[in-house]
This record gives sequence, C-alpha cells and structure tokens, in this order.
Amino acid sequence: MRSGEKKPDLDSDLSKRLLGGRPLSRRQFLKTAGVAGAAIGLGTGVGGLLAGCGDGGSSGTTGASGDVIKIGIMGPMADPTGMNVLRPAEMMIKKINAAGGIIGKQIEIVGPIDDHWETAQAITAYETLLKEGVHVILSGSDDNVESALLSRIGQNPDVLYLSMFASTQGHMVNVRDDYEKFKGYFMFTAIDDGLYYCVEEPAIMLKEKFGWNKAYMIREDMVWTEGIEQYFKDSAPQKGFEIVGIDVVPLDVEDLTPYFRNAEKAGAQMIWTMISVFGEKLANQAWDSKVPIAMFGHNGILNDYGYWERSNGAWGPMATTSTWGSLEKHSPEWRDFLTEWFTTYSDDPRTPMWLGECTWRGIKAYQEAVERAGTIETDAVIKELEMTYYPDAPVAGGFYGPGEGIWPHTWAMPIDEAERAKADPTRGEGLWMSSTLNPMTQWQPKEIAPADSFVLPGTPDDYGRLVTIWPPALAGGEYQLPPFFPESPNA
Amino acid sequence: MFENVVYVIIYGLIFASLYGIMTVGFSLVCGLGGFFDIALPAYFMVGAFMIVELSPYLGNGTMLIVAPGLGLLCVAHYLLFIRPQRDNPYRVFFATILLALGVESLMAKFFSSGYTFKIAPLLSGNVNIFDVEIRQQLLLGGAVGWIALFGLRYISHNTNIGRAVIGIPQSVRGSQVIGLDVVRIQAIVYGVGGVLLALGAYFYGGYLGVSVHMWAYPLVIMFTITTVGGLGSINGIMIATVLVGWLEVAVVTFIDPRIRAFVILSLAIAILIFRPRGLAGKRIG
Repeated sequence: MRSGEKKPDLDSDLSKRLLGGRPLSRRQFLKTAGVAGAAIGLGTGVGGLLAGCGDGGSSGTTGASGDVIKIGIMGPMADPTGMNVLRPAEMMIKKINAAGGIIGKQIEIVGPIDDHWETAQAITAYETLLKEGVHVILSGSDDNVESALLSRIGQNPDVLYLSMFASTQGHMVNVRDDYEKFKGYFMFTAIDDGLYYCVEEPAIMLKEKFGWNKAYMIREDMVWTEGIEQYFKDSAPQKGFEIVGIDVVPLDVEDLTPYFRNAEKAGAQMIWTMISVFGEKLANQAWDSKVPIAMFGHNGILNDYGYWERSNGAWGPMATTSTWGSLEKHSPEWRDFLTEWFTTYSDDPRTPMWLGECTWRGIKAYQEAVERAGTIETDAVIKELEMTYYPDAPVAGGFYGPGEGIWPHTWAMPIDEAERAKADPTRGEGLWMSSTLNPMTQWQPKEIAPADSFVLPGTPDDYGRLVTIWPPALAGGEYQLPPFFPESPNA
Repeated sequence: MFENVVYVIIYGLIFASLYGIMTVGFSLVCGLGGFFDIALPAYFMVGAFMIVELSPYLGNGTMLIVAPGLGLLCVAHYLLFIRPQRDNPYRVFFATILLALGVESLMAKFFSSGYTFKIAPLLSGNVNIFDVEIRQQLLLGGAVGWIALFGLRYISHNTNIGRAVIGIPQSVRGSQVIGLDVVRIQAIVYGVGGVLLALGAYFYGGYLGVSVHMWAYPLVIMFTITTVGGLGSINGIMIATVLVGWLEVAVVTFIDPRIRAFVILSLAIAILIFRPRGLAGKRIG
C-alpha cells in the first residue's frame, strides 16, 4: 500500500456489501431479480403515478357556475395522442371565449388529466372530471382503455363523452341497444368498417394501377383491429385480393423485421397495416430494411409534421387518417386552422394526427349544437349533435340519431355520393355508412412531390411533402414507388 | 428451412454481440459491487438520444463525442449517486429504479413518449448471405460488438486491471487486503460500460429506432445474460449472449415473436434454479 493511501475499511468493504460477506445465494438473487421484474413491469405505472402527481383539476377557475361551460380533457397526455386533443382545444376555446363564448357562456378547460394509456388511471381521470362538474369530456383514451370506462359512461348519461380515439364497433352497440343510458357517447373516429374500407379503397386503386393483388395484413394486438381483420377476410377476396397472410403484433414490439420477412416469404405485394401506436417505428424499419412491398394503412403518428425530421426522410409507407396532406385541396377553414396550429406551437405535434381533426370537429359540433339548442341542457344538445353534418371536414361526415340507421352517434356519411354534398343529407335506415373518407397520404421528397403542394409557413425548403393520394377529391398527387422497389423510377 | 436456419444463426450472432456490449457494464458492476444498477439501461436510452441530437451537427464524428461522453456520465453517476449508498444493495437497487423512471419521465418531457427517432446509418445497403438480406449497418454493429467483447476478454485475462475485475468478486476482502482500489476499479468499469452502452445505443437504436421506452427490453436482456452467464464474468457474458441471441431469433422465426421475452426469461429462471452461479460464473465469497 502506497503511503497516504486510505486503508480499506473492512467493516464496510465489498464483502459486507455482498450481503454480509456471504455468497450471493440463489434465493437472494431470485428475491432481488423478482422484485426487479415486478418493478420493471410496474415501471410504467409507477412512472405514471409520479408523472400524474400535480396534473388534473381545473386549469382555470373552479366550481360549477351557470355562466361557465366546463370541458374536461383526458387521454395519454405525455404522448402526441393526448396533445392532439389538448392543442386544438386550447386554440379553439381561446378564440371562442374571446368572441364571447357559447351562448354567452365562457368555456373553462378542466384538466388535462393523463390516463397514461392505463385503465385504472383513466377511470380515476374520468371520475375526477365528473367531480369537477364538467359538462363535456373530450377523450383521447384508446379503445382498450375506453372499454373499461363504458359502464361509468352509461351511469352518467348527462355528461357528454366525445370519444376522439376509439373506433371499436362494440362500444357503439351500447348506444344502439341502450340509447337512454349511452345517449351522451359520441364517436368521432370512423367506426371499424369505415376504417377498414378507407384502406381497402386505396388498395383497389393500387391494384388497378400496378396489378398488385396479394395482400398481407399486419395489425396491432388491440380490440379495434380484431373486427377489421374480419372485414379483411370477408371483403378483400370479393374485391379481387388474395389474402396471403395476417400477423398480429404486440403493442410493445421492438423489431418488425420478422413480420416484413413473413410478408415477403408469403409473396405479398401489399401490406395493409392496422396500427395506432407503433406506425412510426414500422415506417422507419421498413425504410431501413428496404422492404419492396407497398405498405399502407392506419399508421397513427406517422402523419405528424415532425416525422420527416425524426426519420431522416424515411418515406416508404403510407398512412391514412392523415388530415393535413395536400392542404391545397382542403377547405380554407381547415387550412387556416392547421397553419395557426403549426405557427402557434414550436414542438411536436405541430400538425394533427387523426385525433386532432376529430377534436376540431368535436368542439365545432358541440358549439354549433349548443347555439342551435340555445341551452347547454344535455338532452337538447344531444338532439342537435345528432343533426351534425360537415361535408367540408377533412373526414367528411356527421351523426345521426336513434332509429335513423345502424350506428347512431358514430361518425358516418351518406352512401349516395350526391347526398354527401348536401349540407343536410337525408338520414334513414340503410342510407348511411361509417365514413370511409380518411385520406391516404404518403411522405414524398420535395423533388418528386407535386410542385404545387401546399407548404406550411416556415417549413425548410428541402423538407418532405405530405401528399394525399386518396380519396380523389382530396388527392394532391399519386403514389410514388420508394427507391428500393425494383421497378421504381425514383431509384 | 435452410434460409431460416441461416437467418437465425446470423441474426442471433449479431444481436448477441449488441446485447453483449450492452450488458458488460451491468454484469461487471453487479459482480464487483453486489448490486443491480437499473439506471444503466436508462443511460443507454440517454446515449441513443444524444446520438440523435448530435448527429445532425457532428455527422459521422458523433460517436467520438457520445461514447466518451456516456462513459463520463456513467462514471459521474457512480461517484455521485452510487458510491455514497453502495453499502446497501437494496437501497441502490430501488434508488436506481426510481432514477431510471425519472430519467424516462424527463426524456419524455423533451422528446415525447410516442415518437420514434431514427439514427442515420453509416452504411445504408443490404448484404445477401445465402438468400438472407442483412442490413450492412447491422452487420457492422455485429462485427464491432464482437471485436469489443473479444478485446475485453483479452484485457481481462492479460492486464492487471482486467484480472482485478474478474478476481474481485471471488474474494472482495482478499482483494482489498492485497491493496486493490475497488472504488477506482468500479469507476473504470462504469466508464468502459458507458462507452459500450453508447456503441450498443448506436447500433441497436439505429436498427430499431430510438424512443424513451427503448431501455425496458434491454433491461430484461441484461438481467437474463447476467443470470445465465454468471455474475461478473466476461466469458459468461459471451456464452450467455450467444444463447440469448440465438434463442430469441429462433423463437421469433420458428414459433411466435410474442413469446420471445417469455422464453428468454424462462431460460434465466431455469438457470437460477439449476445452476444459480450461471454457466461460467465462479462461486462468490
């Protein structure tokens, strides 16, 4: 030992730290590893609890008041999903209040309360909002989480629950079969069959253009995709597609390469993706793996403006429910709203994914319903909400009431195209279907995107363009083959 | 079938190398200190985000900053956070769990929990080996990982500090009696572990994408490799990481990707029951 060097303290040396100097026994290791496993498993929950401290409650004045309309916000708020409910609400409510409110009443935002994608915390969030005396809840909770809220929603029919995320048909069975209990529930995302057909329709377009007919489905392991798989099995063969495989992917998937490989080995020419959570991961990995198969579907946050930068321009797969592609084709109202959103916030999400557009429709629909009713009394507002119809919305459609069709209170549209153009189309049994008009979009490099694509102010010149390729009314360009496709002109 | 077997062998070896370099710090610290440092996988995620953020400015030179940077961060973490409480393994264990969750929350504040970021690869093409397409970047990662692991093995057997790292877990008291500075050695292990975590973050994050949740599965892998290989053993890490790599890819390829974590953890549990010191670990005492 060198002079001046501290003598080791044998009382506190490592052998003592090694559990009293004894060998690390199997039981001790198991005990510790077991606690570790439990802690990891609970990690998100604990993190959620920690993160949840301090949120919730009213962000403005508290206490019920006849002059205030309280709108509660809940959802996964640390995620772009929740922000797609909060941001449009903040922007729109600020404007509504500045213009004098709705029928003279100011709107107060209660929350947002984070559900952390978890059932228990969503129940707490929902009940907290009820205690705060909200009149309306704008919810970004996902299908699985919302399933657990349904019984509570049924017990509180006087509080409007505007669902922005969920699409599960099973939720709407409640409204159809037990209207009085569930009259306050409105689903702004298209119900399952609408979400299916807004993928199948562009698939038909690609089949006709490229001759591709071998279809493969990759769906996330969530309740909403189960119904869609059934539609796929039933409908796709009738439209001339050969189903060559289906994969169900867990939500916490890391590596999607094996699924791409399965599709390649099955001879797939198209991969239909039904994903709300890991679409961005899928797009990145498909680009890196150079998967020469057209890939498109509900890829969730792949739609967001920041994707191009985050992914270093990985533009292979397409995403539907993207409501800000080819903005030059949209109504000035929506384009202006998007521009305002983009310039108001400097961090992602700077443009909406589908929930953002749902929330925009939701707040507009509520405002107009209250103004038409002249009151915030729930039954009167519900009756007016059931008359909502927006032919100019990015996802055109509206609601109908009980006795007017199969799925009252789901976002739907007339089957007859001529009827769709009317401000107040005829409602009735067999006349409407779930809206299939979610736009299918593809990120394209500036060099191959249409030159007249609308560019949000401040976008870097070399940034990608989000181009809508379907439906025809909103399409600003055509599908471009990624450079690693054998026949691609963009190689 | 042959193509699938080739796929399992190659991808298994590639993942094994990445898992191996990610686990070195975790396993050696566990052997040296007798505690689990759950924060290390969280630093792995931090390293991946450092690469994402710095690469637009530093390009291919990013790793020259991030690798030593993460090494220093891990050393600072040891000196400031672990060292004061290292006498109590349970305290370290829970403190590092909370720290890891805190780091994840903090990163989610800046980067959001829903986005996936991409690391630009050094090599962007594919290589075809017996009809199996492999990304060149991933192949490079596998090669770098194995070189690092064999390099560490050489150092551990042929240098004084390497022999100390391997020897201390076998008799901490004896090591201190003969004058080994355990704190300094632990700090060095943290530093080297941090550098390797950065390498792992570059290749693993580059392959799968970078997100604030990306540390959870590697933590499972680290536990498994440490358990299967034996505490604080480079040879053990190398054997266990190959087993885990092949097993994982085989399960994904031949059975069902959804049960890969279950199968890997089952292997760890089996080892704990039938050979608790691991395949290459020595008795600690």
